[in-house]
Amino acid sequence: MAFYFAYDVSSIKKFLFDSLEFKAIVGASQLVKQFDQSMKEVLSSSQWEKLGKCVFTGGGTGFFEFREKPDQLQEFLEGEVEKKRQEFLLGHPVAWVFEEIGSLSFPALPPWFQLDSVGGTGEYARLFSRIAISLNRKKQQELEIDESPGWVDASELCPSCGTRRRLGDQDGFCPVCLQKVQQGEAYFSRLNQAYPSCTFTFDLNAISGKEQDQEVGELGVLYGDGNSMGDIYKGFQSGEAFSSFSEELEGSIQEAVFSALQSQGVKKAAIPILGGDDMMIILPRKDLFPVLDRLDVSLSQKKVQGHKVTYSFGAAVVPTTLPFYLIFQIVENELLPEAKTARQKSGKVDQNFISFRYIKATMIEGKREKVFPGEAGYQVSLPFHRGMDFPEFRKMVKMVKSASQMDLRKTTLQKLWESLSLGAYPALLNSFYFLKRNSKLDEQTQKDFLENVYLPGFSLQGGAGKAMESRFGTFMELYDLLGGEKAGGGA
Amino acid sequence: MKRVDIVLKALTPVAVGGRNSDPNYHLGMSSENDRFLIPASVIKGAIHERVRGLEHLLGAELALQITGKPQEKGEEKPSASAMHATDFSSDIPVSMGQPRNRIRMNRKTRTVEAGGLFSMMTAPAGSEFRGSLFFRSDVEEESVQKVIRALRGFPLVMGSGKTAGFGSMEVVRAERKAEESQELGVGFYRLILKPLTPFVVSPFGHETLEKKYFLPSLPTVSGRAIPATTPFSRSTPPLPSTGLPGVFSPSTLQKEKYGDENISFEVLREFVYGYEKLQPSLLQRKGKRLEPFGGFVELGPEGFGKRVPVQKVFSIHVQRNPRTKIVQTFWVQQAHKPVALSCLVSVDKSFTMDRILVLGGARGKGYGVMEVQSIAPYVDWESWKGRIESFSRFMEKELGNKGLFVPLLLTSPLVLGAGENLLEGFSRKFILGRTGSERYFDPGVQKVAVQEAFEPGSVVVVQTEYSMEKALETLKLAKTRGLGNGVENGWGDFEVYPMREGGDRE
Repeated sequence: MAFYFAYDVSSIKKFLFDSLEFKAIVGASQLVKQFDQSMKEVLSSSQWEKLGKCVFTGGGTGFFEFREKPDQLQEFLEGEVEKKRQEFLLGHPVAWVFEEIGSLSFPALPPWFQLDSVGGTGEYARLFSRIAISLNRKKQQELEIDESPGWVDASELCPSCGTRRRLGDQDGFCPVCLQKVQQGEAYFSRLNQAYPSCTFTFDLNAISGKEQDQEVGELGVLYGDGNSMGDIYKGFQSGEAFSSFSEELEGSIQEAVFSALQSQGVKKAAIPILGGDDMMIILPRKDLFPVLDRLDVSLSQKKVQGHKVTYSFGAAVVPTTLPFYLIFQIVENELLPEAKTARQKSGKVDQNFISFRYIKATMIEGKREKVFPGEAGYQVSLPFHRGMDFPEFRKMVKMVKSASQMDLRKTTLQKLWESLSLGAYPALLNSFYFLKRNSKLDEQTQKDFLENVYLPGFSLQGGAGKAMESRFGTFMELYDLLGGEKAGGGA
Repeated sequence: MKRVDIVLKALTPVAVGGRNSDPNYHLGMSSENDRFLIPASVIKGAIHERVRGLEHLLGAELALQITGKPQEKGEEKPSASAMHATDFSSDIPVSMGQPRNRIRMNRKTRTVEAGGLFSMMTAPAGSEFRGSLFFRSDVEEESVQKVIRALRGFPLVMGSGKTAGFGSMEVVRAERKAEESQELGVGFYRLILKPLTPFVVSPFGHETLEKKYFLPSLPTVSGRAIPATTPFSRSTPPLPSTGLPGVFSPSTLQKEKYGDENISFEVLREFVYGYEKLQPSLLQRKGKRLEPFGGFVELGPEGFGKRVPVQKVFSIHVQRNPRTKIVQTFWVQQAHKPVALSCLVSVDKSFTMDRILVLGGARGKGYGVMEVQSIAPYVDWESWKGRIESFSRFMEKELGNKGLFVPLLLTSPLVLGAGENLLEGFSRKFILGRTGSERYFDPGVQKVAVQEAFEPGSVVVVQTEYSMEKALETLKLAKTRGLGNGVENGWGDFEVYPMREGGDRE
């Protein structure tokens, strides 16, 4: 028999992203971390220290286990949550429950249930699910709104969140956004002290290395996320095991990230997100592939408490003119799911996966698919964003570099592109002609290009039937990026 | 509105930018759904230019009426143009485009300058583009004819490469269409609008971030937009639709994370069961994690249908280096052009409805022109009885709760004070959903109201002691008036949730 006190920051995404200022987003996640950290220490040197323990805090959630539930303890914990949410979360709501949970064996779900039962999971997952449902119920019960609107002069609205009144001066933020911004700046200062070899800055132009008289600068951006973490978490038998796994996982990702930046000599970067199993890094475009490469190698070698953790990455080279809001959307919302989907479909669950785009000026969407109708049965689709495993990605990068050295020129690529519009069959025939006449591709590179990039798996004998999926879009973007003629490459 | 259907024929290759174009070319022809297109703003610009050029023939008054008065310093609002245009679309697929290369010569050496080659994707000469012009009712018929004659006199020129002869367009047909209008009696209607140009609605907050480069837009129109410009007394916010009614996806509609977006699982029963019994389950199905479906979904008498695609349209305004033609900087206006928009409108006093409405922001720039696709009395409440019976049966059979239970799906924001019941005779059991902030400008007090509200997509379960007939009567009345505060914004609209019936575990 045990008593559990649990808290959860309500609508945490709203807290993190309601200010769309880059610094404020970074600062908001720091505030959540500080809130969790302060809650973790709440029992230390209090009269309740010996009555229970903190099992886990992180990501805006935490819970504690107690042997008893005296009324004063509930008051104490309630008071602490209130105090700390005012201090760190600037008044943002936090739901909490304190209840007794006896048995963790639950009745079987009715047969019509579509959701999976907690039956097959470890003890910790059952406990956490049980507490989560209590927390959710509490959140719903407390879901109230203030029915009277706040009237604000349009010119007084905070330019970052657009919902609160800004402070005095003309360009000022509201107090909430201001505090988030200050926290974001403070976090980067701490990083600069801890890792002096790299300057962490919010100035995206400075990261890109763009000169004043240069046109548009370019940035490398990556967003990484652990795969199937739920499956690992489900197996834990105790909160302590889960807690130490989470800590070790976060530590190992941080170590991998900072050592990748240091070993590749990255001089300027921004790390908007680094917590749990998520990471987002903005860095000079020339450093993107070496850092990704290094992350893939180092993360693949690590095991966290005996568990092999794999990652999916959404990565892009983007122009500095693209607002942070869209950069985030592209890598996290569009490309990362593509890498995850490709991993699931391929069945290569022990590999890290990547979805990459080279987003040039005036392009604003991560997902792009071109479909050439062709003749019946010979349709070709070109998803530029399709995910692939790292060995395949490396192979393509290598192929682009060697093809470029073997005089495969942009004009030939354009001819190949136009050939695809005729359909797979004529495109394959035309490609032999164009590659022989206009490039010095050796036989092996030409074969690799045709079989793995241009029309994978298609042959002149009986290739018709369903739409071909070509990797040529990714190839062309890598060609533009990696030093194709007049592409200003050099990554 | 007076409507004139126009057919433009390209006399030379044409490269009109501004809308989605192939980024592989330096200059690209705008397209939509893989067909070349000339955005309404470009058509309006070319016509304004022609009208100004022929002001001496058309008369200053008519010219001003057509072009609108430019905003002067200190002036609150300029006079609007009395003419709207639709996007002009062609049947020519983008794959039939003609790539054209241009080079820049060095005048001294008479050779091509380094980097002086740039490529453009053009719609070929001979391409036809179809669209319509709408003149406000106060423009005289004779004036409309004068403007049309002015357009037919000699080719219009638009787009890039004008100096090289590109973009010459001839008006090959201009057909004045009969006015289309419809008598509407007092009642409560479902209105389906077809956007003829994209629409723009500024979201709150987002527009100020890096405004220099990106102007986003909400995918929905404010409920105030229709009553502001038409005799409809109230409207719910027009939401993207496929031609069938579209609603915000409920919080209880889930999809596989990283899975096919069109596979949806309606888990209202599971959520209610878990909530009532504190019975834990995993938010996954057959081992695959689930996440909220998000966006919009069709909701008709048969229940939930397909996801409603929300087509974003980006108008790109590019500044190029005049020498190299390489992009120096650009800004992007995001807009939306769904297949249709759907809303509910009230008519308190009969009137003759025009078939064309102009809604949303940036109306002066050609955005927000809508055609009434259909308007019909609202009848979906005929399916409510079965839905309420089904949900109440579930509450009794699975949870032992006897009585009449109604799961309400909020289809627009709901503002309700703490502890207040939605309706007299109905008590709130619980809410599956979340709150958010709504913002609107009140012209009365000249201020922005920031209002907390239960977000559309939330599900509110209520219980009533009323008989089924009385409950239905009360709900129908509430449907036409709206629930809670802010009903003049179109808030407080709802549907009875179509719960999944039967369906044992597969």
